[in-house]
Amino acid sequence: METMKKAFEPKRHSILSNIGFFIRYYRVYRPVVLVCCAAEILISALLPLFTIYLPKLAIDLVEQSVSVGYAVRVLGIYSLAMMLFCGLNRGINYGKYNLYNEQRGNLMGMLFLKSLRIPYADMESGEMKQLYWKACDTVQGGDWGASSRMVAETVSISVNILSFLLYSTVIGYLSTPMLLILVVLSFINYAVSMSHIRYEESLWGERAQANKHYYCVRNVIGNVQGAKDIRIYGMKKWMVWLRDRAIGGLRRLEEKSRRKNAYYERIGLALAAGRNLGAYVYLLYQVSAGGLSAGEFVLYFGAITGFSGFINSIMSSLASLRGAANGIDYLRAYLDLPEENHTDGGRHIEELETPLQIEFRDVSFAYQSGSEDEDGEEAAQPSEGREIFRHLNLTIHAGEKLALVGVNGAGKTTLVKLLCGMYEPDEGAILINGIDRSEYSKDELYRLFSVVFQEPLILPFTIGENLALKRVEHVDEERAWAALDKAGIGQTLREKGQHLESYMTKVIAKDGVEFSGGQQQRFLLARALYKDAPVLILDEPTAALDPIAESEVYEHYNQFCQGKTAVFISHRLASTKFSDRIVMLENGRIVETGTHDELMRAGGAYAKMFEIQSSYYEEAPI
Amino acid sequence: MTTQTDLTSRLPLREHIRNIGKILKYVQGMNRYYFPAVAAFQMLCAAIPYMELLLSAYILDGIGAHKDIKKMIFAVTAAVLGIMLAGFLKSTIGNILEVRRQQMYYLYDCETNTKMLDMDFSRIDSPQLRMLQERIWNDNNWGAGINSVFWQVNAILRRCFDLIGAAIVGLPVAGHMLRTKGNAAWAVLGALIIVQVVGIRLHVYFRKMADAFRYQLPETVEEKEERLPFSWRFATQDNFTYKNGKDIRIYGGYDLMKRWTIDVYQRKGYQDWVSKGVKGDAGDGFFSSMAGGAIGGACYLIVTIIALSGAITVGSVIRFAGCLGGLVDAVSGLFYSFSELALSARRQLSTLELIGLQDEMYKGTLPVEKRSDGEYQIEFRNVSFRYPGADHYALKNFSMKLNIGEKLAIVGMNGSGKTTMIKLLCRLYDPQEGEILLNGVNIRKFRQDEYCRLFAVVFQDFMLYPFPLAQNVAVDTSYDETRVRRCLDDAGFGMRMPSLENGLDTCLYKDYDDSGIEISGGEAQKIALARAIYKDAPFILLDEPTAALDPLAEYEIYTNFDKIIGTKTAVYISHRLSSCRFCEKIAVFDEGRLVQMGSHEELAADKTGKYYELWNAQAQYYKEEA
Repeated sequence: METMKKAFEPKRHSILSNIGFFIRYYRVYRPVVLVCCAAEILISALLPLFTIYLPKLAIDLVEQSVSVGYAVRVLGIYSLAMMLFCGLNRGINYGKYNLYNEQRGNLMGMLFLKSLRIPYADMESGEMKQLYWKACDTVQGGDWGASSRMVAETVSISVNILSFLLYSTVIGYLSTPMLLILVVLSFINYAVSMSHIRYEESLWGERAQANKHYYCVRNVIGNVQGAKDIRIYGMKKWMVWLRDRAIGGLRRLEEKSRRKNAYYERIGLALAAGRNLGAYVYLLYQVSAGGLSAGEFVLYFGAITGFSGFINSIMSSLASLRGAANGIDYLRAYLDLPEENHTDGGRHIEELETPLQIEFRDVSFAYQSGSEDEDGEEAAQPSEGREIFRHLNLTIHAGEKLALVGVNGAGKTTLVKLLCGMYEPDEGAILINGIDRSEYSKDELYRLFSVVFQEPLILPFTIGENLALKRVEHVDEERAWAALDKAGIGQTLREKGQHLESYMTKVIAKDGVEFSGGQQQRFLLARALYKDAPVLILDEPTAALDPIAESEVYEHYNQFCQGKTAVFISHRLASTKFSDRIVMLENGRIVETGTHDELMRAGGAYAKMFEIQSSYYEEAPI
Repeated sequence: MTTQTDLTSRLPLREHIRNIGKILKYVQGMNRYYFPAVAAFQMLCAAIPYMELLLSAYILDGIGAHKDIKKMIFAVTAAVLGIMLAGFLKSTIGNILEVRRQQMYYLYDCETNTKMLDMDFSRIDSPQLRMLQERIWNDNNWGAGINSVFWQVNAILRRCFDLIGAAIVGLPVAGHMLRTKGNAAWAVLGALIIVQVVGIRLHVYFRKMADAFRYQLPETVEEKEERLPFSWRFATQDNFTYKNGKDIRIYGGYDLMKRWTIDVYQRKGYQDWVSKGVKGDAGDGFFSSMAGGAIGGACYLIVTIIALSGAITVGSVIRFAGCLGGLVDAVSGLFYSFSELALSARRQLSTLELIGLQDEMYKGTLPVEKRSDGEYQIEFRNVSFRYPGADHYALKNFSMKLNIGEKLAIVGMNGSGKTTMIKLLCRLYDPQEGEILLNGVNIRKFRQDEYCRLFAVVFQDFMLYPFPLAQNVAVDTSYDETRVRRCLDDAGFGMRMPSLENGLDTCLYKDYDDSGIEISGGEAQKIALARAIYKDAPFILLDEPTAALDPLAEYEIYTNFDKIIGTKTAVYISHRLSSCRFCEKIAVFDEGRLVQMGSHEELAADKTGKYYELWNAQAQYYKEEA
C-alpha cells in the first residue's frame, strides 16, 4: 500500500460533477426532490419579473387614464397571479426541506456502513481516519453543511443565472450599449467577488484550526467523565482559560475576515452607486429626448439595479459551492474506496475439517505510518511505519489451547488481528488447514472466529440483536439462551425478567437492561459462544472482573473450548495454566514456547514474569 | 418533565414576556452594546430603501414637470452619494455586529458545559441534566429557542423602523385617500387586510403542524424502532467505526447496522412521519408567502385608483405604493414575529432553566485548617448512601476511620461500594444518612474548594486532556517545570520523555493539536498518577491504578509506591489482591458494608472471611503444584 504513505488527497471534482453526484443520489433515494428543485427554479426565476413590471403597469394605467374598473381588473388579476407564484415558490422551497435534508442522515449512515466494508487496517490508518472525519464533516453542520448547501445553492445559482439571462434580454431590448456597459460592470463585479472569495478561501486552514480548537475545548469541559477530576483538582480556572483562548482565536479570525468583508462591501456599494448614477443619467436623457415613457423609465431602472443583484447572488452561490465542493470531494472519495472482498473467492469454510490448524508461515507485518492502534497496546510507541513481525513462524495445532503472553507492546493484539483477518501480512502467508486464507472471501473467513476483544461493543438494541449481531428475525432463541447460560449470565437475565426482545441500555427503552462491568464481560463471552465458530479468541477477558468472577471464567474455559482451537491473551499469568501451550512474545518475536511447567523449568523470560506476579501470592494461606 | 407534545402550545402572555425579558437581560449581560448596535443597524436597513424610493419619486415627478435636466442630475448625484455613504455606515456596523454576535453565540454554546464545571456533581451525572442538554439542543435547533429571540428582536426592530419610515414618507397619501371619491380603494385595502389575516392564521396553523413534526422526538419503543436512525451516533463515535468495527466485522453485524441506520429512512413509520412534516412546511411556506405576494399588487392598485381620480402625480404613485406596501408589510411582519415568538415560547424554557440553574448541595463556609504536619483524620460514621434514582444502597450503615499516615487497601467484589466510598470522601455526593468527619467536623461545613485540596485522586475512569503534557500534570497554564518532570519520573513516565519532540509542551492525543502524541492506557495511568503526585495533597487515593499495566510495569509502580506516597495517607483500591500487601491495613467491602479490616496475615487467617475467598480465588493459580 505504497499509495497511502502521504496524506490522502482526494480526487478533485468540478462543481458540475458534484451537482451530478447529488442528482444521481436523489434519483435513487428521493426522486421527488429533483422535481421540486426544477419547479422552484422556474418559478423563482420568473418572480422578479412580476416585481419590476408592476410599477410600469401601474404608471401606464395612470398615464392612460383608464377607468377604475379596468384598473381593478388588470391589477387584480396581476395580484392574484403574484400571490399564487409567491405562495408556490415558498411552499415548494419549505416543503422540500425535510425531503432533501434527510440526505444528511442517510449519507452519514452510508459513510458509517462504508467504514465497515473497507479493509480494517485502512480504518485504523491515520490518513483514512482523517479522510473519514472530513467526509463526515461534509454532512454535518445542519443547513450550513456542505451537502445541504449543495442542494440549496444549486437551486439558487440556477435561479439567478436564469434571471440574469431574462433581464439581459429585457435590457438588450432597450439598448445594446446599456447592455454592454452592464456586462462590463458585471465582469468587474465578478473580478472583485472572486478576489474576495479567494481571500476567504485563504482563511480556510486557519478557520478549520480555530474551529477544531474551539470544539475540542467545548467538548472537553462538557465531558462528564472528567467531572470528578475537574472538581478534585480544581481545574475550572484552567478550563475557563482554555475556553476563552479558543473563543478569542475565533474572534480574531472573524475580525480579520469581517474587516476584509467590509472592504469588499464598500467596493460593491461604490460600484452600485456608479452604476445607478449612470443609469439615471442615461435614462433621464432618454426621457427628455422623448424616447421613453415614465413607466418604461421605472421598468428599465428596476432591471438595471436588479441586474447586479443577480451577479452578486451568483457569486455568493459560487463561493458557497466552491467551499462545499471541497468537502464533497472527501465524501465522494470515501464512498469510492475499494472494499474488502466480501463475495468472491470460490472456497467455503464448510469444506474445512474442524478443529482447525492455523499456521503463520514466514509472516512479516508493519504498521503503516500514522496508524494508531487504539488498543493501547501498540500505541505505546510513536507509530512511524513500525515493523511488528519479521518472518514469524507459528503453528496453532488443531484443537490446541494457546496462551499468548508478553508485556504491553509485544505484539499480542496485532497477532490476533492478523490471525482473524483484520490485517493482511506484508510478507508470508497465514494458512488454515494448509490453505492460504486469502483464498476465502472476508465474509467466509470471519465466520471462522469468535473473538472477545478488549473494548466492549454493546449496542443500544435488543439482547438478541446484541448477542447475535443479526437482525431480530435472524436470532435463534434456543441457542441464544444456551449461550447466555453457558457464559453465566442467563440466570441473571431471567431473574430480572428479561427476554431476548428487551432493549439494552436506556437509549431506546427507558427500562433497558444495563450491565455491570462483570456482567458485560460475561455477555460478550456469550456472544462468542453463540456464534460457536471453530476458533475462539479471548483478549484480556477478565480485566474488568473481580477475583471470584475471574476464577469462574477460568473454570469454564475448558468447557468453552471443547472441540475448538483457542487463543487466550491475558496479563494475569494464572490463566496460562489452562492452556496446552504458552507462546511468549517479546518485540514481535517468539522468545519462548512450551507448557507452563516446561517454561518454568527453563527459567527464562516467562518464568521471571510469572515469579514477579506470583511472589505476592506465595505466602498465601492454604 | 414537560412532554414534548405541548412544545408548540402557548405560554400565558405575562409569563412569556417575563421569559423574553430574562433572555434579553442574559444577552445584554454578555455584551451591553449589542442591542444599541442592532437598533442602529436595523434603522439604516430600513432607511436606505426609503431613500431610494424618494429619489425615484423625485425623478419621476421631475420628468412629469419637465424640470431642467442638469439640475436634476446634480440632485440625483448628491442623493446617490448620500445613499452610498449610508450603505458604508450600515456595512461597518453590520460587520462589527457579526463579530460580536458570533462571540456571544460561542459563549452561549459553551454555557451548559461551563456551568458543568462547578455545579453539584450529583447534577452532572443525573439524567435530568442530560435531558436538559438534549432539550436545549433540540429547542435551539432549526433556529428556534433562544435563537428565535435573537432573530425576532432583530425583525421587530426592523419592522418598527419600517413603520416609522413608511409614516414619514407616506403620510400625505392618507389625506388623499380620505378625499378620494368612491369606495374602490377602501375595498381593495379591506381585501388586502383580510388576505393578510387569513394568511397569518393559515401560516400559524401549518407551522404548528410542521413544528409538531419537528420537535416530536420519538418517545415510545415502537416509535423509536420505526423512525430513530442511529447514523449520527454510530458514524461520529470512533469506537463504532474502528475500535468496535472489529466485532461488527467478525460477527457479521453489517446487516444489523444497516437496519438501524440507512434502512430506517425507508421504513413506513419514518416515511409517514416525514410526509406530515412536508405538508406542514409546504402549507406554512405557501400561506406566509402568498399573503406577502398580495401586498405589492394591492398597494399599487389602491394608489392607481387614487391617481386615476387625479389627486396625485406619477412620481407619487411609486412613492405612495412603496410606502403603503412597506406599511402593510411591516404590520403583518410584526404579527408574524410575535406569532413566531409565541410559537417558540416553550422552546425558550430549557435555556432559561439552564441560566437559572442553582446548586442544591449545602455549601459550607469553614476554611480547612492548613497543617504542615498533615494531621488529618477522617471518619465515616454510620454512612448510608444511595445513588440518585437507584433503588438499593451502594453503602449501608458504613463506619470506618482513616488515620494519619496510614496505608489502607480496599478490596471487594464489583459493586461492593469501593469507588462509592471514595466519591463520598471527596464529597462528590452527600450521604443520605450518617456523616463524614474531618478532624471531628462534618465535611459539609467546610468550603468545598479548600476541602478538595486535601485529596489527590486517580479515579478508575480518570481523564486526561488533549492539551500540553505539563498542563495536564499541573492542571494550570503556569507550572513549576522541574516539579512536573520529577512527578512524571516518579510515576514511571520518565522513559517516554526523551522521545517527545516538544517535551513538556507536547499535547496528548490529536484532538487539539495535530502534532500531539497517542499514549497507551498504561502511559495514561502514569500521567494521571503524576498529576496526583504534583498536587502534593495529604491524602492520596488510587482506584485501580495498575489495571492497564502489564505485570512488569505493575511491579515497577509497586516498588516505587513507598517513594511516591511518602508519609501521606493513602487509600488503594485494587482487584489484584497482591497489591494490597503493600498496605498495612486492608479493608474488605461486601455489598456496601465494611466486613473485615486488618493486616493481610490477620485476614488471611480467617478462613470463613470474604478476604480468604477473594485471595484464594486468585492465588490458587499461582501456587506451585509440586
